[in-house]
Amino acid sequence: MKKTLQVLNHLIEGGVISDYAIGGAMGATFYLEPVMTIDLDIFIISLDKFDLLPLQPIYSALRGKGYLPDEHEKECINIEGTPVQFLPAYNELLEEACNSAQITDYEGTRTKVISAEHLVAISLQTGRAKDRLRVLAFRDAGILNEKKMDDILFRYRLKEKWQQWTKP
Amino acid sequence: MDKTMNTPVAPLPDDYYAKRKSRKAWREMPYPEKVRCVVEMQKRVAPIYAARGKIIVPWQISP
Repeated sequence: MKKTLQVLNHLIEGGVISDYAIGGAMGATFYLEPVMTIDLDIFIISLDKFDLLPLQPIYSALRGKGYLPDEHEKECINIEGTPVQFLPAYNELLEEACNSAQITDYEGTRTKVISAEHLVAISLQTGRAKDRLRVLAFRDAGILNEKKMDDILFRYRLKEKWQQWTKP
Repeated sequence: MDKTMNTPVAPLPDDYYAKRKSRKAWREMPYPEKVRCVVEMQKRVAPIYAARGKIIVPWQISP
């Protein structure tokens, strides 16, 4: 995965994307117990916010380096043995999540992971069964910053859903 | 007053705390170690998925 992250960092250096952050199951795994997943979810911020095809420059740049769609996970690009799913930050919550992501070091390579509180908010917004499990796992781990969580829930009108999903 | 309010609560079995402790240890593991665990899980579930017709190729990570 180190090489995969290096390729992602080159996309920033090469001016292909403005920024990226790890989300999804691998984002959650940063804070919680490891969970099974097949792909690496990468949220990206495009250089052009109004680009109708925000993933196109990424796919072109990666194709130029020989990285092609994954043979089995068709919606992913296989980068150095890891299927990577690129997801544009298509709303304010995702943009904020990318911009405020935690900078970390992965075996000497700089990377960014979406904060625990933002991962919870994204899960609430997405609303699938596995998102509900993720929200409960974060709550039960007791690692959420209550003040920060409350602020995000209030600003993105997710408080009611949080209460529904976390009530005993 | 409800008498049950003053009833001492039975201590939870040691297993409960052991499980909680082990989950905490998993959470506090370094990220690269956790990634290795994910890849190990991929290796283990691959034959199960294959039997259902879905191919999973475990990630290539540095040893």
